[in-house]
Amino acid sequence: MNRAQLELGLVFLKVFSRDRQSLILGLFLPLFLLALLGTIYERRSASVIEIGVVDLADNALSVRFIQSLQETPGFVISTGDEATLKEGIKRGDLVLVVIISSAFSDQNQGLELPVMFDGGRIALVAMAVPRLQQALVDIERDLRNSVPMFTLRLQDVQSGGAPGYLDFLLPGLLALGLMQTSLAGSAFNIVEYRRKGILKRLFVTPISAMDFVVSMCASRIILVLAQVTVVILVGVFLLGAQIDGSLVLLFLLAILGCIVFLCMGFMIAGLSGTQESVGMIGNLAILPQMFLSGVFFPIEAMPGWLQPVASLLPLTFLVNAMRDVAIDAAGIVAILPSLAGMAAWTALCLVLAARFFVWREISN
Amino acid sequence: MPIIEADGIAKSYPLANDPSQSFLAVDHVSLVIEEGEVYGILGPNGAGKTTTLEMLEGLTEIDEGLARVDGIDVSKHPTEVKKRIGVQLQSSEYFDRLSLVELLKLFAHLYGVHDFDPLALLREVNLEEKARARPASLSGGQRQRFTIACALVNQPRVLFLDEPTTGLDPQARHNLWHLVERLNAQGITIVLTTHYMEEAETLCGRIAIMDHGIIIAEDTPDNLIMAHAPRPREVPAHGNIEDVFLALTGHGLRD
Repeated sequence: MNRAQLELGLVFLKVFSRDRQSLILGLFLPLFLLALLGTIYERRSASVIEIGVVDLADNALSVRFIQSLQETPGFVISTGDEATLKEGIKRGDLVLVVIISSAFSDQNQGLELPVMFDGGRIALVAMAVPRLQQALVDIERDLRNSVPMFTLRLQDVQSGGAPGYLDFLLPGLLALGLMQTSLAGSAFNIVEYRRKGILKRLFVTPISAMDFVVSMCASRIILVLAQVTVVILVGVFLLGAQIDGSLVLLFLLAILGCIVFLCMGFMIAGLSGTQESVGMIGNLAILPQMFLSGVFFPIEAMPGWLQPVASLLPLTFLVNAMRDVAIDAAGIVAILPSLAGMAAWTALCLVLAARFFVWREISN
Repeated sequence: MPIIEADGIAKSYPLANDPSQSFLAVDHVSLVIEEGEVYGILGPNGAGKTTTLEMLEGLTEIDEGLARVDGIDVSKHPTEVKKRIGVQLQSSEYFDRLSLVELLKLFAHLYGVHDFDPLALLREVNLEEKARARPASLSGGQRQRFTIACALVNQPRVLFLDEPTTGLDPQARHNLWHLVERLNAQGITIVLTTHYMEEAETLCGRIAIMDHGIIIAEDTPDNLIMAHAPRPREVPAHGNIEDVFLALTGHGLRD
């Protein structure tokens, strides 16, 4: 990067940082969505199950059992007497109630624990029962602490935890946010600069078109890295999302994603002559991707006919890759198909941008 | 020694309503401007003034003909030409949210001038107290002075001004004329376009009158008046350049 490119890039950053509207759209919107949807759905989603426990035994073992349930990811435990908790099921506050009978002790052989449940929420019950059983097995194995291998494996199962909606949402919103920043930043800004004559004024000076493109892309990449950093920090440390994969790979993906959408922005700026048409074409590119790329819910949940289209969108490739890395700790090899999809889109957009892009205002 | 030479430069554009047809905006114009001159191009709207300037500035490709600025072929080395000239466009907008000082610094960097005192330049155009202001908050006259300041960051040998006083009130216009005269006194060659006859008459050593893409007359203001202005029926003795302009380009409205 030469000095002129550096200075122009710094100016782009300065202009952006003084633009409250862009700041809000680029930074606070993803954070807001993450906090809002992440916490709402986390509470309502299948991974959060409200369980009541009636402890008739009230001994060391029953306390330990309740504690183990409380530590089970996705379980919210409340204790009380049978009548109250039964009311809780009827009111819809509780999915099921476990009754620890007074005979519950470490001397039991095949003691049955009654479980009352809400038949209307059978799916949640079906999810909860294996975990309840797991907790019991857990205690049992713990008591018969003769096979250390078992203990190791059980702890592994416990600490891993199932990814919640927040963990699912975080990579999706990272991708969505960086698409907005890159795409809107390039397409809308260039058309605006062109319309106002700012581009023409810049090209009065001895800089080249390449200088402008380099500065613009570099400043956008820096913005995107800052945005991704903030969203990850808030998501992980404030909201408690979990990222299992490589952060380096995640940031690398952010840069690649930024490049894809910058190219798409240049293409859109090329295809649209005026400020009105860039708004229309821009939204035509952004809105479907927002809802069809699996940002908020998995593509598999969409109607069958829509899935093949959805899975070919550029944002889908980025969301999938980021999610594979963040949740499944995928390596670079595992995300190669997504990277190939992103590369194909970059190439397509570059060809179209080169074909249609003009630096000067079309009508004078 | 000529600092600008144009030999038969031409530019055509596709017609807006029929792109298969083109219209010749500048029709093989030749001109020679000496170093230190203030040279004015006059003409009605659509005469080809701006296109002519932009070809000389390396902003618009030259279809035919040859242009040299400071001995450099504009078509072959537009970047080299741009380093030596200052350009004030007809309408200039700047990045929002940047102060005058920040914008001047940016333009200086774009010219590779990294050791630069923006306040000194603002003082020269009488805008020192507006250093932290944004261009949008400037008045019309201040704005034009600022665009000239932007065109001076690289200490150009030639300054191109495209309708520098259009839309300004008389006070602001006279103020700008003084600035142009001061800059010319420092040795900067000035090429300007204008609609205002008084402006051309006051500022320019020589004037070219353009219409329909060609230069139809070129001389000193006095000679043009002698040659073309119709003899007035009463006083004043010779009419003025406005009479010349209308005599040469007709009275029909062009907008």
